[in-house]
Amino acid sequence: MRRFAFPLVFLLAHAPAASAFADVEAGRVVYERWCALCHGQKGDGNGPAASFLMPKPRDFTVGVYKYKSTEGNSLPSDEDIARRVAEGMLGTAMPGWKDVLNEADRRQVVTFIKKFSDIFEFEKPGQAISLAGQLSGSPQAADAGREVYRKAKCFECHGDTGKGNPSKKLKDDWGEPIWPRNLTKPWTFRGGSDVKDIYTRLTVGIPGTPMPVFGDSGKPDALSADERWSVAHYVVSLADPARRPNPGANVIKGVYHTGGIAAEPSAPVWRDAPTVSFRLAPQIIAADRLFTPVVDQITVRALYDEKEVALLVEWDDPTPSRPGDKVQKALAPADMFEDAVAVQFPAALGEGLEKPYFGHGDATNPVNVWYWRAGRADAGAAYAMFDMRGAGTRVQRDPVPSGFSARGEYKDGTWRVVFRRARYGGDGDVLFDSGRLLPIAFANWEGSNGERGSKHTLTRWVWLWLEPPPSLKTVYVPVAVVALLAGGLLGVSARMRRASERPQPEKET
Amino acid sequence: MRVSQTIRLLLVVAVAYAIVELGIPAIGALMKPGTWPVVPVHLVRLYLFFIVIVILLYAAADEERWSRVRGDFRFFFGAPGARIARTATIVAISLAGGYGAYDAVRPRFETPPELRAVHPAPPSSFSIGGKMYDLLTLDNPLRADKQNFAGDVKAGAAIFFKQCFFCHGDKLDGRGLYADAFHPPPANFRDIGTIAQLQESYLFWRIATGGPGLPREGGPWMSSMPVWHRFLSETEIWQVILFLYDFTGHAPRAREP
Repeated sequence: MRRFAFPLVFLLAHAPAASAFADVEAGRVVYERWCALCHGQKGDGNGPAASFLMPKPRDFTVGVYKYKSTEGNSLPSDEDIARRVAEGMLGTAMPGWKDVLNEADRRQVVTFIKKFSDIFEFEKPGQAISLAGQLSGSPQAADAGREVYRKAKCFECHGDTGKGNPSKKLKDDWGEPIWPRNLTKPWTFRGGSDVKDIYTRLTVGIPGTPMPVFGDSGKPDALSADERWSVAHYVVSLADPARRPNPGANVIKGVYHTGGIAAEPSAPVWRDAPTVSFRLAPQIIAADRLFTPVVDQITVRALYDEKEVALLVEWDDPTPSRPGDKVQKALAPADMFEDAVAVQFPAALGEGLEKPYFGHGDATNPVNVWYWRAGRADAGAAYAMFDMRGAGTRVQRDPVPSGFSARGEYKDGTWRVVFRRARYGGDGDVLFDSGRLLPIAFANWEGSNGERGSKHTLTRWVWLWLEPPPSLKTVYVPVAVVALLAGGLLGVSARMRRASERPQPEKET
Repeated sequence: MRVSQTIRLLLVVAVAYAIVELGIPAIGALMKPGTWPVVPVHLVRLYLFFIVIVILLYAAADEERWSRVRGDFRFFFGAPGARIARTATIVAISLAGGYGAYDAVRPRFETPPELRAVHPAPPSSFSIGGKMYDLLTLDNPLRADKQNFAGDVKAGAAIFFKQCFFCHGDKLDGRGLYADAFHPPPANFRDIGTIAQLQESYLFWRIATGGPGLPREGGPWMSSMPVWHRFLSETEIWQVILFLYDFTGHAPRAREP
């Protein structure tokens, strides 16, 4: 018995250290199973997936964490790291892990990843910033925020309308190109889109990125807490939730319009057509593939009249890329090609549900493609129509018989391109009947991201539906039904009233 | 207070309708919280049709009851005292009918259900670059090699995280970064309805030939699954398959004797 006393005492004395050690080892198991394939065995952000991702997986060896709530340049708290593990980062390959890792797992993995950098041994996490004194949201707060946005020169990176179109080239601390956040799309805010999250980003910045710290009162460009709250409210007010892609919404409703269809992308008539937005995914299906897209969604409207059909295709793009444009070239991280967009239709509708292969059809099921490109800075935009029977098989089609044309314009971080054509063109052409669902798909090229040829983003097949023009049927059928019902019921009622006024005949026995 | 025969019968119809419209989903919600499984509209109509028939039969089955119902109707439509209620009812019924007619004739679309066989029957054999694969006898050659098993799984993991995770997800749950941009949605390998029910040879065929390799009932025109034999060697495909089973803890379906 006595022999065991010493080790027992020894163990008890070292219990806290032993449990911390157990946490690290448990965290290692979690890390190696779930995290290492992106963040790397050594925590340097260099797992197998790393070279296919933008933004890259976090490098834990330098101890820089982008989304934190602690003051200034201080280290993040364990809660900051655990929150990102639990919730993930929207718009990136980092998913939220709370569905597979419980709270203990998450705490242990945080303990483990902090071991990749010795900075956590020398420094303590800073104090969490205070969220007391939050201004309540109001139009006045947002208006005040707009002024601060201008004064603090937020527009230099995030653009005049918050679309994330910068006027200077940006890199992160690892030397990777980085685009400012598009503030109109809060569903892509990595660190959360609540006004408190935005205030936190403004106050302590985003370490490792060009996003500055505005909460350090020692600095000349610092903003007061009230100013930061008002900018945060202004950013919240920029959100455009109607453009958030909904995977369930897959029909573009084209509206019948009298009085001519406008070719100008900014024409007010387009406001009459409802919008629908689709996710764009990079073309990762066939060689040569694109892995790191910049443009992630596209918004479409459609109008038509007796003769013509037109689509307005819009997408937020940080740069209008036209080779030869020196200003834009200076912003592009690599070779700059032309921005472009394409719309695809089945050349002929197949049997039942069958469609051409969504990657440009195949030998027996061709597709028809509308194409618009921004062109070189000195030459201007251009458009073309193609027939395709599989990738790389495009054959130009004369646009004249179908009256096809396209026109684009770039303003405040958004491209708007109008395609228009006759609803019924030449032989073997796509037919744009109203009241019929027509498969349609989109592709987009962000030239400043090196996108060209098969390197582009794309949508799945969705539908274009030209809503039949209002017809008299929708008036006279309901009116006739109302008249019939009311007439019939009133007739019955009149008869019964007469019957009740008549003396009742004696009942026969 | 005595409630008239007709009102009682109408109440029975209303209660029966409420059971179909609300009661059945409520039972579903009790069995699986967070869901609200509605009864399809055409089924509701069918139920309602039969409920009304049964109520009419019940009302007409007894001479006295039937005469009471007729008396109620005669009172409602004929009595001078019921004029306001009568007029309101007639207007309401007429307007409801008018709206129903408008709803039936207004332009609308119904997207066709994109029916497809999720795991369509594979061919008995297929060939890639002149090499024939017989799916009836094809086995994962790496599974028997116990010595290199861990290394093969690791190699498969690296391939998965370079090629597949964009859609099938870091957790192999089919919810990768670009999953919601595609239709049909990428397979969830952790679900017991996917690889756990399939033989390894089936996975090999699906991976090697991709979306375009699907038979017609699988909807080859909409699947975004790449034709992986253009990017991966035969060994690499088998390594990925090993990884999928190892990581999810599923066992491949055994071959039928």
